[in-house]
Amino acid sequence: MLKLQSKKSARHISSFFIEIILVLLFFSIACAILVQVFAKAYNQNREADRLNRAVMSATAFCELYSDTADIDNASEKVFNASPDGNGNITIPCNNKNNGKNPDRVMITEHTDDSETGTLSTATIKLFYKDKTLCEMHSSCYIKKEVRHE
Amino acid sequence: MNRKTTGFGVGTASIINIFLILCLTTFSLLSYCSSRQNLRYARKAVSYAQSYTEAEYKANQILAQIDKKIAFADPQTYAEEIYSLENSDNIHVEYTDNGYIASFTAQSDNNCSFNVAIRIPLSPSEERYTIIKWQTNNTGNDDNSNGGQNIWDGQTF
Repeated sequence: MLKLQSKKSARHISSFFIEIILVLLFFSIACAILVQVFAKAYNQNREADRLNRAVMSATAFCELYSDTADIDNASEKVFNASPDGNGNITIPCNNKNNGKNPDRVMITEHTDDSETGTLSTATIKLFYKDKTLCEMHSSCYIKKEVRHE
Repeated sequence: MNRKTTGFGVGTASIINIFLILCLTTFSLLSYCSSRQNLRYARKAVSYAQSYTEAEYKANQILAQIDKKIAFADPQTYAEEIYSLENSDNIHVEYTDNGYIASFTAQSDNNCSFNVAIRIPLSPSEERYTIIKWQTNNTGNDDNSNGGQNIWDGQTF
């Protein structure tokens, strides 16, 4: 009788361990898939955040530029830095904002000067790791006084 | 006949496992859908901002062309030259007592357009024009236009 009971209990324990092994195996496979989904969601959120920040900075720059056509003033106010000779602004990354802000800005200006006024156009490009986040053109027309002879 | 039960029998682990996986799957799918929507809206915001600035640039270009014509208009044929603006860039010129009103629409490729109106004096003067309207007009297709929810329009039954 005792032997029968111990046999039963041994079988019970072994089936329990087989179940645990199978459960762990299934759980690890499911986790491997689900962690990838979580990681993808996290990366997409970061990208969306970066795009939002880029478009906000670019819009602020465009608004300021379209008022005054002053590229230095606009970039100083928005990015706290003036563009170098090539029109580049490199934004220093601190750990807090790392990966959330664009890391480089390129601003180019084109001026179409005529006798009646000046049509200035600035193109702003924001990059993150050499990938273009957004590109915008801002323009401003300032009329001049024309003296007829 | 007294059977000892451990409390953690065969099958309990499977049930807990299934419950955990269901929870994880639900949360992961919810977060994935939410982040995908966020990204979609961010891309839309970029696209809208780009078309806005593009439309503004086109409006400025047309304004510069109009200004050039007004500035060098011959005082003898001033009115005719103002009306000749209608020949280009969908400009519409209208006569009012306060001056000519020239209006045009600068359209970007997809989403946005600018409705601009300027007042031009009846005779040549130093102030060649005054901008009286510089208005954005969203012409983009709204996602909810097809199959969106019907919202109460404010009218009583």
